[in-house]
Amino acid sequence: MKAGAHLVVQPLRGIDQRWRPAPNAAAVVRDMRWNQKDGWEDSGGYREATNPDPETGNSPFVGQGTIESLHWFAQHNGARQWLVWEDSAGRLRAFNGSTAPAVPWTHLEDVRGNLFDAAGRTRTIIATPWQGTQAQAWGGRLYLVNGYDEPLVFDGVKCDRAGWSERPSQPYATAVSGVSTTLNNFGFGTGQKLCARKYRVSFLNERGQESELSPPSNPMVVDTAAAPAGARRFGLVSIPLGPSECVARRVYATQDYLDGDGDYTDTGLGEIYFFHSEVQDNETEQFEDHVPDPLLGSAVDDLDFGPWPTGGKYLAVFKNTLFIATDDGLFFSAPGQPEVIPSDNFIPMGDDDMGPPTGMRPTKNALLLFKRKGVYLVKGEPLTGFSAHTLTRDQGNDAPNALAELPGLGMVMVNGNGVHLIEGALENTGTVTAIRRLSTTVPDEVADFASAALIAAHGAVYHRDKEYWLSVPRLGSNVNNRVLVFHYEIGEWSWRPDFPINCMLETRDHRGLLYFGSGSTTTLKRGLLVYSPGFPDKGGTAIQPLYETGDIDWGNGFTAAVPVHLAVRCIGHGNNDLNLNYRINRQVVAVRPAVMGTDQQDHTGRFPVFGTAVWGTDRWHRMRPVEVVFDLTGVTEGPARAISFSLSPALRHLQLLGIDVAVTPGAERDILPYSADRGDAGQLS
Amino acid sequence: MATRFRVQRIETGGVLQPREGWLDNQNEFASEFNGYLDRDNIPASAINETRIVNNAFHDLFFDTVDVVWNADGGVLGWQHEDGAGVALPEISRFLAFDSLLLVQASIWYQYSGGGGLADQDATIVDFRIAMDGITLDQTGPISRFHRRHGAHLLGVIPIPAGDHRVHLDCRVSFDVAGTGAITLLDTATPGAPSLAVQAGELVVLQRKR
Repeated sequence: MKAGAHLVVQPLRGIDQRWRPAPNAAAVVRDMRWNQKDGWEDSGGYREATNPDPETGNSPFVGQGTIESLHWFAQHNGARQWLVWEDSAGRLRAFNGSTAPAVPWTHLEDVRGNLFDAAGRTRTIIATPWQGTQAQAWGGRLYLVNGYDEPLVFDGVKCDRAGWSERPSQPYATAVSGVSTTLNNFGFGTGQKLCARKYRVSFLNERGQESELSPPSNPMVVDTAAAPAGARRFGLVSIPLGPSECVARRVYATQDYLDGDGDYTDTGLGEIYFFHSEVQDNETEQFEDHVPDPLLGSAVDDLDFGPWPTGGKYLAVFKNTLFIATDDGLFFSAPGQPEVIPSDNFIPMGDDDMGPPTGMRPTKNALLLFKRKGVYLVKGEPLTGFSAHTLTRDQGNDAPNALAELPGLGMVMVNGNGVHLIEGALENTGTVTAIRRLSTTVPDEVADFASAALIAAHGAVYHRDKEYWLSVPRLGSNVNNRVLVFHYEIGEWSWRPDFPINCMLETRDHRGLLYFGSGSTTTLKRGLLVYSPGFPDKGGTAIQPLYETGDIDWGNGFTAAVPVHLAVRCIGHGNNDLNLNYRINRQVVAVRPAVMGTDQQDHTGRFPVFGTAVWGTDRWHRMRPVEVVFDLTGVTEGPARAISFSLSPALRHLQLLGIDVAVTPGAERDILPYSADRGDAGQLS
Repeated sequence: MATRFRVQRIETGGVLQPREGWLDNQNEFASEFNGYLDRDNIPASAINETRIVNNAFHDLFFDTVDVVWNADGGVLGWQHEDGAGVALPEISRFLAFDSLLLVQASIWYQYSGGGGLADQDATIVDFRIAMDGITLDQTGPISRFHRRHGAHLLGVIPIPAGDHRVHLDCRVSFDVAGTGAITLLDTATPGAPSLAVQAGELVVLQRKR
């Protein structure tokens, strides 16, 4: 660098905690957001999603515990939207603004009318860090699993059990006979022979999802030659009633598998079941079978059905198929039937030494399944079957709820080694399939991760500000206590304190709001919270933007310079000061005992400001870039080989574009032995 | 979830400019008012029955026949219009939304001519109410023991929005030989009875699903 020169640093970029960052990198970017005009401005705060009671000032979330999981889904092409959450008391609630401010929620209830309000029904909540309840929307319904409770499906009115946990018990059949002159085409005939048939039954729930088939009934044997002569024979079939979610039952029957001598006919004929009828209720316990063999329907394969697996922890929809990950492996549904899990639809995954599944997300024509130390791509088609392909056994995902797809980049996963991006999907997506580290520039933040509690981390993409939010536990905490923000359009990091995020999501509608469930019960910081730059603070805690540049190196050990002026290129926000302090040569203590403050105004022409502007005299203006200049006096640590500037607003608003540092020559004036005066033994003496 | 929150905040001492704090916030809320307000913006129970206009969620239609409708003895299936162009009641409507139809019909009819008592069990008539040909309710066979009869039908069906037709139909047959073999009721045959609907009414209540 030349003496008497200016060092212009622009545009400013995010945090780089490596030893030798670029001059435009920052050491700290706190409570700030990068905007589309390439400036860094103050970020937002949060408040409860509804206002407190205007008369009492009370929040509806007093005494309601913490929010453990948050889920979003929409019905009727997005016209009816649901924000569902589960709290620390195991209650399931849906946001209901029509009852605000008193209780802006409605408890979900099951098909028997029991409310999930902790008094009626309760969901399992684990006090230590866990993945929480996972949800997946399908066909206007929301499926919920947590690995412990029965899987639920919420249809906007009620909750029901998802899938079937049991199959019907064995039906019982016997033969009856009667004389008929008119039903010539029904019954088992009047021929002189023995006939036999067996039955199986399945349950149907109101979503048309069919259970496993029951065990076969006893053989129903009819002797059409028996008295009374000429009587037609019928089967009297007793079928089991289903559980409360059962709305209909399907009956399957074999064809007659005895020949004229009463011996078995073709091999296996007695084990092939054909559709017989559907009983459209859950009340009928007996029916009379008069359907002859030619009028039976198509054959059924009992391997097409199966129970919903127990211990399902993660859900994902991929290629019209619902995937359920358990600690045992990966189950997947029949296509188009999310609650029917054929018994062969199981991928054991293997690699048990890689740990249990820790998340699942579909992306780019593949389903990503994560383990603690592995990433797998599930590929295939519903009709030909799916298989798992190992992408890596080097590292995996520790934070199931932090998985998110960054626009145009790939899938983010988080583990104790950092934040990583999965690009490509083993196919011609235009991107090489690879895992790339995103957290290269923030090693100190990664080192602070509380890796044992990382399963509690949550992430969300906030499209309004082009940000990926990662709320992580750090410094040994078991709750999330810092938000790392990845500004994905420029690939830079910043962080924000004081966000008690237990869980969060971005609404998937035109509003794109960022809601989060609080892990705190502190006043103003509890309940259902929403983020916006329009809010004055973070639940009562001030928003404190800070941009601290990295240590900008000048020259080397033989040359140095003295900084004399700093022009901060920023947006002229008004009369509230922009504060500056700075450090020399990587000292911990700042040069000035107190910050220097200067108005965020152009000194060649100030704009009127709110609070003092006079109606009829002053006029509206536009925001504009200005230069706010500081004199860097009082440098006692010089000459300077590295300098770092710390910029913050006296109140809240600021927007930084760059800095311009003016320096004068400041080489070593007193040539000293290199070792002695630096505290060494003295190489020249 | 029609919720919006301010997106910018004015600071005392901030530059007097209209965009941030004024226009941005105004735009945020204006875009929500223009079509996206929903249940979350309306207090519970703020709208009760008295605030809803009449027939907001239902409508009532009816049709009658008050001239004599004569069954055609040459038709074995369902009949709606007789040879003189007189039709049994029907209602055709375009339904703007998915609906539940409650359909009622009442009719009275009489026989004339026909044979003696031996034939009375053999002449049967069915009436039905149907929507687009789908039977909603059917009387079942009614014999000719009495010269005059009344019938009442009631049916309910959920239907999607669109053009639909609800109609009352009649079916007559005559078991000439008394063997169970159904033949046409041939009014041209001496001694065969004829059937005439004297009056009928069809009422349809449309209810939003």
